[in-house]
Amino acid sequence: MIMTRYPRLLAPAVMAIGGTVIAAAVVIGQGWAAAAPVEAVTVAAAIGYYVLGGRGSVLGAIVGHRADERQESIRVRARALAAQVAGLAAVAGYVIELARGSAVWPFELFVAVLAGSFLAGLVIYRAGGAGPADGPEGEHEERSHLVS
Amino acid sequence: MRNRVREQRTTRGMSQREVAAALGVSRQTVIAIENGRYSPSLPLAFRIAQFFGSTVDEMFDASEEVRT
Repeated sequence: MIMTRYPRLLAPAVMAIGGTVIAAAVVIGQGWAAAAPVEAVTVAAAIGYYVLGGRGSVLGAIVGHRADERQESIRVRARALAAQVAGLAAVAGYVIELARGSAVWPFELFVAVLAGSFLAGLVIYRAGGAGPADGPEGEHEERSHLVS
Repeated sequence: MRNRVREQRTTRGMSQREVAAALGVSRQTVIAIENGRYSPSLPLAFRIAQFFGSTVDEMFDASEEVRT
């Protein structure tokens, strides 16, 4: 409700929650002293993101969740690039850790999640896709569906 | 894609900011469309055409690519 009314708060809020979860993990594993800088960086980053979201630039519009269709297409392409780079980094990490004889399951898990979400995306977006073709080919396709 | 957005806008004495506000897009997007660096979606192309009292066919010429 608040996020739909104030979309600019969304990214900083997600960042603050994510950072706080990480800080909580640091508290459990290493104590309060180690977690304090993590939380400080989180708060600073969330404030920085909020300020950036108010700017009139393309980046500001994307971060502030008020992007128009061109800015949205930039965001989608940037996300796709980030996912590709993250996938390549995971594969590189997997190969390096394999060569070192270390545990590789985090990299396997990451690549599996990436591949799974890609396949899920194909299924989800295909479902709302083109629909049956018109004309004789369409009839043929519909018959094929009925047979299978 | 070549288009007549700038021509139509200047004829009406409007700023890019005003056109952007009327179309519900950013000023940068209007600039990108005018310069041929961005081809709008079909819904936006129709909104642009309606806003200028024209047709999509008249506003956009797919046969001519803008050289940047």
